[in-house]
Amino acid sequence: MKKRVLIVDDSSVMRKIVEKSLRQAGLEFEQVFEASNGVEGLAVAQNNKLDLILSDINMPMMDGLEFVRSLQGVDNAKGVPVVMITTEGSEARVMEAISFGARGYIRKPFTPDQVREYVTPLLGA
Amino acid sequence: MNPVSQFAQQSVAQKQNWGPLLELATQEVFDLMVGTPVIPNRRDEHEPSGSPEMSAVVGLGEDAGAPLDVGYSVSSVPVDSQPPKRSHPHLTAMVGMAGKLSGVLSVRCAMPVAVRIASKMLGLAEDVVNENINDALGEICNMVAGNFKAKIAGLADGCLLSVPTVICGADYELHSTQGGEQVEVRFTFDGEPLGIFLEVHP
Repeated sequence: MKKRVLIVDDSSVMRKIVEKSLRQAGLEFEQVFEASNGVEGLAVAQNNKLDLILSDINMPMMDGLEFVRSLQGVDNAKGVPVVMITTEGSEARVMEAISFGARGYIRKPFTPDQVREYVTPLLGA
Repeated sequence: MNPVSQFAQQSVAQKQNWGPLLELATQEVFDLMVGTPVIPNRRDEHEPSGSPEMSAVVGLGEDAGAPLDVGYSVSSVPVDSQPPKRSHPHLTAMVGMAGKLSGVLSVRCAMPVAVRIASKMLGLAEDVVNENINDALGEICNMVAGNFKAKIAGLADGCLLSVPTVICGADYELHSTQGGEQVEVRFTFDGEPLGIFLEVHP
């Protein structure tokens, strides 16, 4: 069954690379939503049924930590796995994201195989 | 010791150990995210400033630090340094670092190199990546900075990164108001020069 994914990153290049990596990993999606910060990401999550959310941490307007924390109040997002994709090597920030409900993180730079290994079990694919 | 100054106060010799780590961090980013390697520019010890092309890219003059028979060096950052004028557009992507290490990491290259990087990152033809060039180089800079600090013990959790800034033009100068030291790593990408600089503020 094809899934619906939201990619949140302030870099449009990185959003495209994440989507490309998902497809290279052999994952098929019915729809890929994009958002350039947490505020836009919340709006997408409120209005759409999603199967997976991938989010950067370091973003303007609303960063990934605040985004994940705010998702807790979005009915549509309950139970939707959130994975952080970040350049941050900071365990503290990643642990903070996990404490807000993120399921884990992928560190940039990454390979499509790393994306597949992480994402596939979360999608039940 | 004040933790804020802990890394800035390391000696030049210690910072020279950062050169190989910065080199490795850059190579990993290009291997994984661009799909084309960067080749360390091993300078000839009799050619202390590197090629004129590289000097134009990196924006440094003849006094650009102690030459090493490797692709990296450590030097003082002259305040209000003036790079040589360039005849064609170049890009400088910068990411600020704050915390235990305060400074700026920058990636510098000519416009055609940045176009090629964006093209390879996205898997698109070079003539359709125009709107992505700055973004792509900014992300490269961001990933190199993050990957580098993850390799330094105590820095991953002690240093935050800014969002990237990218400057583009044929005639611009970068001014440091604080001086400090700079770790410099030079590469070639598809045969063209590309420089990575870590300016460490005191």
